[in-house]
Amino acid sequence: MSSRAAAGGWSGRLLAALGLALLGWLLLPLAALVLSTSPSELLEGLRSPLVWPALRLSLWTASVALLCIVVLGTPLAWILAQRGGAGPWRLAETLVQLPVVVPPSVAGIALLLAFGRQGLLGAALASVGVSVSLSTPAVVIAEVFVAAPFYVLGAAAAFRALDPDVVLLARSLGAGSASLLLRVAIPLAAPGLAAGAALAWARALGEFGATLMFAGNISGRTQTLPLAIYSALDRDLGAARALAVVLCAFALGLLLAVRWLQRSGVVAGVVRSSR
Amino acid sequence: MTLQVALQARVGALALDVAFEAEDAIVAVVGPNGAGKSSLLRALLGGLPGAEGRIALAPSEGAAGPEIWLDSAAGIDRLPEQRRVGWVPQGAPLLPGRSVRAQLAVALGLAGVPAGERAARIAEALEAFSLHALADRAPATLSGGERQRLALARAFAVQPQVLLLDEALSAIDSAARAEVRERVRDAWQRRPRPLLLVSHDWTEVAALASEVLVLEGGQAVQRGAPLDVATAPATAFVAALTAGHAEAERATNRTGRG
Repeated sequence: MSSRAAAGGWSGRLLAALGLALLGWLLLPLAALVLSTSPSELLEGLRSPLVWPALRLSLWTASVALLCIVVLGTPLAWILAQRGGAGPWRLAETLVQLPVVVPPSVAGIALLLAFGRQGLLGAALASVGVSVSLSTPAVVIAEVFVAAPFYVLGAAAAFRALDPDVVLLARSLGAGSASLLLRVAIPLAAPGLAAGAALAWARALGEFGATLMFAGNISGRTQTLPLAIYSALDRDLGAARALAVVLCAFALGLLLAVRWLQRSGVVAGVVRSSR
Repeated sequence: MTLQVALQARVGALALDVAFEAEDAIVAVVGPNGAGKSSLLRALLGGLPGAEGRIALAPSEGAAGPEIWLDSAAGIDRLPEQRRVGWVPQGAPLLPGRSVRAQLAVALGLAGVPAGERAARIAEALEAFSLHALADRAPATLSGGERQRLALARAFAVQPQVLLLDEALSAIDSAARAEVRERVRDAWQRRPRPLLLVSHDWTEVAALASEVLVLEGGQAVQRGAPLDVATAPATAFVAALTAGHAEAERATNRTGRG
């Protein structure tokens, strides 16, 4: 017993050391970012002309993208939660995850080939006088592409966590498909849906590669915060650092919100009611 | 109305195969764990995949034909939302709604009760199950027994065609149980209709039900009035469930119960 405890203590310490090494690896860059920027430098950087147009555009496009994702993604998540176990919907669930694993530059090319002037839908869009690429809508399209999976998968998980008896109960009371979703499933799964939406919003806010390739880097039109950081890196490191700290603060705030929602979701009885 | 059931379904290892009719009466469904009681209720609701056979609801008078809920030979299988059944599931799960009153309002909304009628229905339901004091309480703070009373109020409030109560009084403490039983009986008597009551408590069965259906291993093994079932139990399970009750009931009946 004592030798096993000693071995456990020895290997336990090794495991802890390995884990802590990775934790340091993850935290060191973020710590460097925050520590290397003094409050006065931060304020100075925020005065750069790059900052406000990019911040405004980022908040605006990420919010429009989130609206599209929630309106279109909630029905999809509900269907996946109800029928994702088998058949074509199972394939659909796998396909929804594709944008997560596809490299951003690949996403950029794919978006160009779909919506660009020479793309699949380019001619059709041009015939009605719409040119998407190098415009603000292109930023939104790219953000929806990369961020939607985070919401859809989170929402589907939240819907799956609902007590199946509640769903059957609501149906026995007379709820058809629409009122079942709108009046029962969405209210009960709201904390999980909000957590998925927060993650999707964070991903949309941070979108860089696909936007750069598909929408370009035009100040006030397609230059979001991450692109502004990239542009500022050459000319104005102070502005780049300030923008980075701002984005980092947004991300941390969203992460805390998600954690809080996930905890309160359990309290609110989203998980199966105890028997 | 008469609920006509001839049902077969496979639930895991259990082969459910039951046929019975229930008129506007309280029919107790008893049986050991795993006998298929809850599965039977789910099949009646339309929530048991793979259920086969025939379920119909025949009106007691008038020329109208029966309402067919399930007829696998004819390819009919009504969705749960088209059957209008009041179900009190085990554990009495909660709907959205920040108060007891709001929970009832959501249920009435789902049932399509016009907004103008809901307040009166809610008041009646709160009254029927003594929930007035709890009307503004957050559902998460209710005890198990209070939740079951809410679930009962919800099931009766929508005025369904058939009621299915799955151990609906099990979490109510024994002191209050007799009163809630009376409440269930009163609410049912106001609008008699087929009511199936799954129970493990023979006192409850004897007090409420006019008939008993005993399920074992997915099959009906005995059917009859509670006193007859208790007097001549067909299986060891029924004998154990009713032990001592037949004598007590006969004594009560002699002194005249009403």
